[in-house]
Amino acid sequence: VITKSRRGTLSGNGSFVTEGGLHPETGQGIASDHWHQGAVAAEVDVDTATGKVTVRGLRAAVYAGTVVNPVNARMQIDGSVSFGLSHALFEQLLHDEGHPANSSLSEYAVAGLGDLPAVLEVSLIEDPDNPEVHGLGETCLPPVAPAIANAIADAVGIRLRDLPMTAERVLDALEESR
Amino acid sequence: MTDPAPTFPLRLRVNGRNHQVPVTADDTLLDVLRRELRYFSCRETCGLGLCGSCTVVVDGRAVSACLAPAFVQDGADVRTAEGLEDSDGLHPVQQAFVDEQAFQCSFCTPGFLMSVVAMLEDDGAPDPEQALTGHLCRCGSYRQIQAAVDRVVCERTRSAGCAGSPAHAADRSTPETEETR
Repeated sequence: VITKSRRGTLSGNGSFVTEGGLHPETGQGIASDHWHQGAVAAEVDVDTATGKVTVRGLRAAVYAGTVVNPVNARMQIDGSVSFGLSHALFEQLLHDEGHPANSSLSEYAVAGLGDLPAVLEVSLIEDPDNPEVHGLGETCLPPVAPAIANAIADAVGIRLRDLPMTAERVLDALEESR
Repeated sequence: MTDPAPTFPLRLRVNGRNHQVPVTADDTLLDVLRRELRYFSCRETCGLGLCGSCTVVVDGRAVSACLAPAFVQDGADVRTAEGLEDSDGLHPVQQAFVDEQAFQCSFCTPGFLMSVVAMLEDDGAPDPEQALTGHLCRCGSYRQIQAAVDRVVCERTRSAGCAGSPAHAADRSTPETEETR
């Protein structure tokens, strides 16, 4: 077992300016009125013999605007992280000539309690100067899969481009990289 | 056209009340509880015994009602989430779920409750992991559910350090120590 040691603090800064709005005459354009900002960092174990990915830790941060209901806001982000984990590692809808081929829970894996990482941290970042209230639904769902993929790349040097990152795909990619 | 399926009477005790209901050979316990007796806390999701949302306690054991054939339950003592509350208030497991806010949409909650109740009433040492493994929560409230179960197990076993349940503290994770092997 190789465990990479981690010391210190991981931090990052960035800016992203969105442009949007609807054309006054045609009504076409980007209809979103505000944008969600969420980031996730992941820590994984990759078993190079079996391809199994175990997520040890997920840390999520979200720019939350002004939080109205802290308990529910936190739970929503918690839930989005576990949903994202499920989507990153397990969930795959297969189609057979346009019909769902695995439409029951016996064929479609969903993350359960045992799949959650030992460390799951959520930070709601509020801006005291900005009283704006944001929608927080599933804000941290999209970054979970790329965070896990990056962690896998960092751990064993393979780039997975398909979801879910199943043991088979990890093994295949490991095989290819050899 | 086929004749309607023959029915026969099933005696069932649900939450302390005796019932006699007509069942067919392919009815499940879930069908009987929902259709005949209107106990809507047990809910069908997968119908395969994989999600846990239909869990009820039958003669002290947590059972997936969607898989349990009704006709073999004659004389069984069934408990559903409706029967947990008594005149003194919520059942300790329910109270722990409320205190930890261990639900968002709460569709899965009755199943979780009944598994935890069965676990606590079992003679052996409580094993929350085993009790909760067969349950899915699509809202992802697993950490709060875990916290609620830990709290109620802790209160039940009266071991030290029950009070500080960290589930809704601002930062509930413990600092992680890293090691190199």
